[in-house]
Amino acid sequence: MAILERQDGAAPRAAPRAPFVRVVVGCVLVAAAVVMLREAVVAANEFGLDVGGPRLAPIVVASGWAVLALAYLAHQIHARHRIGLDVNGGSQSLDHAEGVEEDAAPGADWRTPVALVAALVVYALVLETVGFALATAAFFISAARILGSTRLVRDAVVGVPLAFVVYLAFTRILEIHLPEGVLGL
Amino acid sequence: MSVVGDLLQGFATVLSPQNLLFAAIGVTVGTFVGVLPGIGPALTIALLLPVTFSLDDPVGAFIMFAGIYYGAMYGGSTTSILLNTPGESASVATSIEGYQMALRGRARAALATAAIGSFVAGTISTVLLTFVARPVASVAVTFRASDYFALAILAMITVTALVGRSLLRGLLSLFFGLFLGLVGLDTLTGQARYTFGLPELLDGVDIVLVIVGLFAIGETLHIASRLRQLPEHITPLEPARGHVGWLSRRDWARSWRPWLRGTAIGFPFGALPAGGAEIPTFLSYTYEKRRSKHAAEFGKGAIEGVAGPEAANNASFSGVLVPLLTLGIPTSATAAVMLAAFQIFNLQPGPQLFEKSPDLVWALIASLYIGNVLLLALNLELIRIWVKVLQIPRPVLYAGILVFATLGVYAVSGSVVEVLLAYGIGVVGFFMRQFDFPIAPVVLGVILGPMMEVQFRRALLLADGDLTTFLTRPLTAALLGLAVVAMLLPHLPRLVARLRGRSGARLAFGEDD
Repeated sequence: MAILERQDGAAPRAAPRAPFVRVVVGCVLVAAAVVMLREAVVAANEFGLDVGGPRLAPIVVASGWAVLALAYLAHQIHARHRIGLDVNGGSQSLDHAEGVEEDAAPGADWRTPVALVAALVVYALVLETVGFALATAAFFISAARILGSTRLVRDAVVGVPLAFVVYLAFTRILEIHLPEGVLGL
Repeated sequence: MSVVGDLLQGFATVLSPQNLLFAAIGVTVGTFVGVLPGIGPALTIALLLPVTFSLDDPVGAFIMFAGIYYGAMYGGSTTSILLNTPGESASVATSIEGYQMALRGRARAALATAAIGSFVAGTISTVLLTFVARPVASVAVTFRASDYFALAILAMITVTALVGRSLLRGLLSLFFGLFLGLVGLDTLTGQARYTFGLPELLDGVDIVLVIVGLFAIGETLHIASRLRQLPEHITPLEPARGHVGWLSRRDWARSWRPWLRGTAIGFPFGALPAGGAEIPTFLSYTYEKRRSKHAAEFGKGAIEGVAGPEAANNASFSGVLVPLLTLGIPTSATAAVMLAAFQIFNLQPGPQLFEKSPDLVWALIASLYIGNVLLLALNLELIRIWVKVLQIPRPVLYAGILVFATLGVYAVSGSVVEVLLAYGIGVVGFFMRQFDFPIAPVVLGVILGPMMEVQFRRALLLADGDLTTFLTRPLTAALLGLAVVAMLLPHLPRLVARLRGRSGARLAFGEDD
């Protein structure tokens, strides 16, 4: 058993931090539980709950989720009380220095992922009208920018041929349909 | 036919030029993605699934997938050693001593003991797989629906309880996967569940969407949130010296026992439904550290600390194939994707697979022998190329991953809605990483959940709705009992401490942060 504990020790443990965000996470999980349970119960009422039927599993999963979500929320609220509010300093430098996967450190950059998600959604929405090749080339260059690239020419030199080669390889060699869009390739 | 005869038949299949090409592509692609930080074998296989639709013969595809799985493990050790960023949890143990060796100018020795150790472990464990697989399959023929139900529970619980640091977060991940698995039409009655009135959800959430969302989108968003904190420095390779395989006689002497011990730990752990490679690598690391005559070197680059875990890592892969091929039970995310691939080709892994598709099974096993040889050559001789791969600029790399992720989902589904759904799952995956929820249980939940439900209902049907059937059949009851033990085992020390009333031992349902 000592060995299994050692396993924990090998990855430096996250120091407690930003418990308020975790309480919010707990609330979101509980809210999801309400939605899941409601859907499961409504369906069970409508179609009847039979142990061997299709309505049992949603009830079981939703109930299990609800119990776990409440436990998580309770634990986070408890942790918030226990630690107090003086946790935002101190632990930060340690985490970053270790470079090991740890969770949201205060000061984690939120703008880059949000911008990236926005770019992805635009990419998906224009994919069929603009066409795979053009949309991909444009997305590649913008995504590289968002991710901190400052070398536009390099990104274009990589991204544009990549988009067209992939498009031609999929549509001509593998015969998998991709939207051709405005270019009519 | 005897096992040896079957295996020779398998070799005959693999050694055809076309299948050799698939093996070579597989191990090369696998090493490539293994070296790249942030993407692993599960994602790669998921993205390649649409490509294999156009293949008539599944044998080539599976030879390639096995090569990717193996290759990614070889490649992953390169990244751990040179960059100290283990791409997956199974490489964490390797990076501890491996990176220290690299810092002290012994990168080549670390890479060599990892590669040769992987080869030794891979080959030995493939031999074990060869001889264990069919006996297990013939036992598995006697399994009934209730046993499969219990096995699925056991596999899910062990993976969830033993991977990651918190049972609570692991179970939440698992239930998220179970929920995703429920979405769509019920397979037995055709009733819609959790579709929220959206026609796109009637077909359910494809496993490719889940994998791409969690591993590609989620990982990239996670990286994006901490761009400035990533290590950029790659430890340079020292010039090669004239030793055999870059290892001095002393290195060989210190490596071979850890290789064998790592294999002995890795294979059984993989073969039991016990959560893939993470535990055996740490077990091996701990064991070597305790046993070593050079204990003082640990933490400063002890070669045993690389040799053992890497061997355990590779040995566990062949082990994972035992439950996958003989029972149809995946015990790692990558195995779950391979199971999905089997289903695409209308093959159901399980005891009958050895009867129905012996060519495929034995070609797959034979390809593991070949793949190991190819990988040894790839990773020793061509290491400079893989070091170059590490130097791909990150913005370009991750922009490319997002493009291929989108392409993969669109090619599978042909629908923008599904692409957006994958992005949505990716955002969830991002938050899971931010708040330290493990990813693998989600994938297992999606794959094993529906299987478990079908077996549960089938067992009930056979027992005329009598729920006690799960407790009266000894095998089923034993497996369920094991699942309970697996859930409690990691928390036993704290439970005991609590019962003895020691102060300071806080028991909080597996939460330890």
